[in-house]
Amino acid sequence: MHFRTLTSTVAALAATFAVLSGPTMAQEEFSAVYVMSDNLGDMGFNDNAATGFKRAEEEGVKTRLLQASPTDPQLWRQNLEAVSNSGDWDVIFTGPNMHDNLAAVAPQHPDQKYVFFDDQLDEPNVLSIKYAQNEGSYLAGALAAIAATDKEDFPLTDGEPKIAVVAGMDLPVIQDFILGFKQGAATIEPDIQIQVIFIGNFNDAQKAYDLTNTAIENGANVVYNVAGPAGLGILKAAADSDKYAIGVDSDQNGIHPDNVLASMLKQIGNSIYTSIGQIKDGTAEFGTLKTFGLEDDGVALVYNDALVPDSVKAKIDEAKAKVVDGEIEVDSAF
Amino acid sequence: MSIESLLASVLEQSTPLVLAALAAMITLRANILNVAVEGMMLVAAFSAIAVGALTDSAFIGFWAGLAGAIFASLVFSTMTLRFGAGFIVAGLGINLLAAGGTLFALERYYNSPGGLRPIAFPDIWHVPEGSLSFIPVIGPAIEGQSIIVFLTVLAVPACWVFLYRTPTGAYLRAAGEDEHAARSAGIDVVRMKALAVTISGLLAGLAGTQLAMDKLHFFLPDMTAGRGFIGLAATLFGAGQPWMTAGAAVLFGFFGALGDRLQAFDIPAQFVLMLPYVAAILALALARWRIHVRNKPSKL
Repeated sequence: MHFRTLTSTVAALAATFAVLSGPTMAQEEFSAVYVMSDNLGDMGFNDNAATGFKRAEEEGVKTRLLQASPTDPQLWRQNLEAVSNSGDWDVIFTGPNMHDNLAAVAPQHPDQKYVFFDDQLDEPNVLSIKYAQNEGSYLAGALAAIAATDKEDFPLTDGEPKIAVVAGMDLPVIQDFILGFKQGAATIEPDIQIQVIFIGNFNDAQKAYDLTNTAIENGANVVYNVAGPAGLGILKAAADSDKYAIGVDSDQNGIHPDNVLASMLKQIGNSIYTSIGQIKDGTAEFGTLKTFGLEDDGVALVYNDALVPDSVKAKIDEAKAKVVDGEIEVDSAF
Repeated sequence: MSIESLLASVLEQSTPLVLAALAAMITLRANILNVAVEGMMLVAAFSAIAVGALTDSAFIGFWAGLAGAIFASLVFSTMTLRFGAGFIVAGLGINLLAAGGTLFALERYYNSPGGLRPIAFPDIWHVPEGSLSFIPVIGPAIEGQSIIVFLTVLAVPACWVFLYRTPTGAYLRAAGEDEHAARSAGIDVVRMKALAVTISGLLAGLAGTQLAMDKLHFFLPDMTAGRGFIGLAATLFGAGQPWMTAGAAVLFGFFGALGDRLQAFDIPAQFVLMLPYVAAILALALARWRIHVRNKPSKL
């Protein structure tokens, strides 16, 4: 145990000083480093990514997460160049905000393998990973439609097939969420009424609150939050009017435990764990874009077990199976 | 869409705008174009939530919100009146400082740059549900509104009385109209301007506190979302008159609330979200045109 901690400390120092001290561990071990543009502790994207590295580490992969302040772009670039120059890492992971840095660094190190997640870069040594938010939203739509029409299992609804999605801005990625949500709801209840409402930005929580109230006044029983930070206002409004909501991005079920049915998450950790395995086996296709969807648990609906009974989960699993089998193709905005 | 809910929403959406507009108005009368209202509101929202959660008291949180904004206004007046910085430059500086400072505090002390959301937060006083239902239409709209909404309704006549019926208000206006004349009449111009900025901080503090404490009970970076600037536009439209200014702010609030309701129909969201801003541009153009017509020399 002591030896492990000691080596970690040494390795941390080594990474900081551009790994000038050379390899500190046996080289037959597979190694992965994540150059971050943010810190851990956000209870969302970054912490989710960290879980993937942790799982890989438990299986003997040497991992290192290089945190950096989100306001210090210089440091992101320095970290990326340092680990690229060292040549000690089998694969270098990097993510959001790093497009320009990676585009500059990756071509200079053609033998170094890179994984770029939640974004895309067409270089022969870069594997890009994106997430099929439309497929996850498809399940959210199915759950919303069931919850709106099933008065017995979901006592806060009035049984009318009316739901809403409150979104931040009318952007392609947001439309991808909305299209999946609409399609998922329509498979359960073909005549469902779906209000699509835009806040106009991602931080005006008061406007999100008011818009959600309006949607609920117009009869919506379930509201899907696709509004980033302002989404907290959506969840609060649903809780204040005693209706249901579905969260997004991180597990928001605990925020209003009596009202948030589930959260739709990008399982960044899962995708990282899976791709480390594939790179180890040599099956990963560098130079391509891989989209993680329902099939490989890249997106998932995390239920609030106190509100969603098993019979409903079974119905949604059926819908999921159809998407995974390829029987249903979920609409996409891309 | 029911008329009660529209009315309630207009009240709710107008309140921070009216307060922001009055905050900008009181400084405009002292000849200061106050672009720092936005930043003062943000500081108020943050301190209200941070202190309210710490003490578990809505009362202390409310006063902390006001104190935060007044502190920001003191920084503003020190920079401009003591050290001679330009009002626009210093105002923009306050806005940047408020946005960056609150984000820094979130990251440094709460370790959550995404926002500050206390698990439990004390409720500020609201009109109890059902207490006014005997009054048709207006009763249900007033139910559930916070105490700050009523303070706002009182703030408009209070500003009018202060500006037009008290000696200090007259001095303040004189200092704004013609600085040199006011000085030769023995008015302490710098003190009057400092007073205007402080009152502005108090009003902006009410606006920010309302935003954070009324319904949301959390703080998000940049949650004021331009309301301070809409308030400034309302002041310019109202030509610095309390009633006109408040009226313009309510007009913007009305278009915002109406827009929210129109989204339920099949109107493109971009158009609906544009409404308050189109209203602001039209209102400003109208105000200029009115002045233009009034000042035109009559025909011979």
